[in-house]
Amino acid sequence: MNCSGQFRIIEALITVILVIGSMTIAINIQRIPSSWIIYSREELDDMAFNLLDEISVPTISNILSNQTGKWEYDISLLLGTLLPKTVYFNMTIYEFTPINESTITMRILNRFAITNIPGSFVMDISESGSATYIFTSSDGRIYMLVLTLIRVKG
Amino acid sequence: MNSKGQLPIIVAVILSGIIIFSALTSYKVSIFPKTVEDPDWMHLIINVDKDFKRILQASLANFTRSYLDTGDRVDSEGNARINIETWKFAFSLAYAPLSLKISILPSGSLISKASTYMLQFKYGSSTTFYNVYVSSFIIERGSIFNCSWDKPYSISASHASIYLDIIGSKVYGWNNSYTALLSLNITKIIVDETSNEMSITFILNNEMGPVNNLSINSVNITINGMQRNVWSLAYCGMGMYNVTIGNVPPPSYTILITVTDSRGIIVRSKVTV
Repeated sequence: MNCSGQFRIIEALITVILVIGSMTIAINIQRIPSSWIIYSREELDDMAFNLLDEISVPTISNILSNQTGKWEYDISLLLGTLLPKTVYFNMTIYEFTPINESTITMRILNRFAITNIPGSFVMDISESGSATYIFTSSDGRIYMLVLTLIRVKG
Repeated sequence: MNSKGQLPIIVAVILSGIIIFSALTSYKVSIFPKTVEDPDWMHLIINVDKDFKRILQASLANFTRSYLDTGDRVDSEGNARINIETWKFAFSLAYAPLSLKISILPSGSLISKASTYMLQFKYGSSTTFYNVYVSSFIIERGSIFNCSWDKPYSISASHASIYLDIIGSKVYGWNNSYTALLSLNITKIIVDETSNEMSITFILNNEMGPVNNLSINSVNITINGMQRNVWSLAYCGMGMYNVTIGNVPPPSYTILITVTDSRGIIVRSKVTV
């Protein structure tokens, strides 16, 4: 076989390997989450805030005004549905109540944790972010919603 | 190696670089330094902008409820302001890491200018037109709430300005003013002398425009001091409603209409014909 012809074949192989290799890397980057991709905390903060902003009036307001049964599960189910499966959440709801002109009480409203974090949570946390949202219901009750989101390494 | 054969390799290297770079860029991987504006203060302003309207409306509902019960405007304002102070405290606490300085000012406002309109009263075949003068409605500087009731055109309103200095994010001087109101305008009263039915037409507006979601239970009517059952409530569009009452006596009439909107804000109009 001609020597220069063999070089051409080797060069063509290197070219193919480079292109296929780069495409493989690009496809891997798109997989979420990947252990070597680091997302910014701001994205989780934004996600948490936008979620609270969107669901506070139409849904959480309704759930909090009724507070029937284990209403915490309803909120947990709602968050679990809206958030990606790879994101863990923990939500705490506080209520502010004026007693008189100089005294305001603040208490945790949820009787148990609104979360999808397993009891034995030992996963490798990649990122976490949180948002706080003040929300006044139609009957004038003032709530503070604190939502923490945790993304684990995949 | 043949120099002509190196060209495809160079092209492949460049192409590989472009593919990887595109993937990294489109998925915002953090190996690229990016300038992200601190979002916390934007979240704070979005939260203030949306929720201050809600607390102002809820406090106005509280104010009008208390005023209906006691008739004391000063005392009712004091009670309603406790809600706003609680909200301010909650906000300061929620955004404490940003070193928030928040001021809610009773800046006062001209809510509506003076005007006139015609009120029609029809009893049987006789029709009378009353020229109703509506004086301007102002919330005085130093007050957040005010109401002008027991007139053919009545109004309940609240107005406040909010100032924010977000020291932690070096955002200073953000401010905005907010108004909540409910106005009730009686325009027509028709009495059918044969069936003793009275039909009252009124227009209901809030700060956004016409109110279109009033329910029959939200309307309370008193004629000559006696509370009457509302037989029907029909929405005619543009905030105009028509209510019918049965078994009405012959004239004259002093009619009190009390309306509560879906937010709990109350307004009461009075007509003597």
